[in-house]
Amino acid sequence: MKALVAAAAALALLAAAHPARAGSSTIVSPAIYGGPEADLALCAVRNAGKKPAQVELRIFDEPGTALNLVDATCNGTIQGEATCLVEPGKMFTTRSFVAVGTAYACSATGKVKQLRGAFYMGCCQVGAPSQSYRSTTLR
Amino acid sequence: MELRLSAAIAALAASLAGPAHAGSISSAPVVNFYFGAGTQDACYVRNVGKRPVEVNVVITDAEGLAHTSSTDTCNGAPLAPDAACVVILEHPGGFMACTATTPGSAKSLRGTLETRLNLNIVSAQDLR
Repeated sequence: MKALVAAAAALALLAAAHPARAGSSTIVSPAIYGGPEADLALCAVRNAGKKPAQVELRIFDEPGTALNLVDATCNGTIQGEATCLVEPGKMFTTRSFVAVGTAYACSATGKVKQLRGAFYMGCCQVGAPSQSYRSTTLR
Repeated sequence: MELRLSAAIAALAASLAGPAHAGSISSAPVVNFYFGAGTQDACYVRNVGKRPVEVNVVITDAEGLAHTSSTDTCNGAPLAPDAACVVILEHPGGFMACTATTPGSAKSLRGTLETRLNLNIVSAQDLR
């Protein structure tokens, strides 16, 4: 009985420490190369469900290192954090600058059943935006 | 025993006769950072089933706000088997998504959302 209580307490602590991961799982993209001008990576999810969903977005380089964010937009509000409580029907999007000539990937951790996610590579950090984006789906 | 059986049959009948849940398919966000003339979003929905279905198709922005379409062949009339319809709106820029909802199951619906610049595809995502 004591062991059960201790295990339950440990689980509760873990859940509190990682709110985005409590009862959640992850959808991921493949690694994509955006072409010789792609210097910008965009990861976006939409909450297609009826309840708010806590989501963490991360963009990875080829060795698997998570990149720093340029910015993130949570329910339409710009912020600097990689997590967002996404309201039903709204989006959470992140941007990172990337090196030209290498591939990147994105992951979303949360209640993924109600999430629809996509990852884009394009240009430009400076200048006119891409006229087409290399894209893939998170699943 | 008979009473229990009757109650079970009544419960089953009630569950079968109850209102059907609306089904929906949704896209991931598409992106287009051009703002202004020549940019638009087009959401196509196709009925791959054997019966006509009513569909409600809406394109929304990052804040979940629906935008007024310039073309709409989806809403207001049933979609015939094998037929496709489209909702087009002039693109306000940024991330957009499309959702198709039907009164019954959405199993027979397939959809895709495209964002365009001067009719060239900038990005696209399927609804699922």
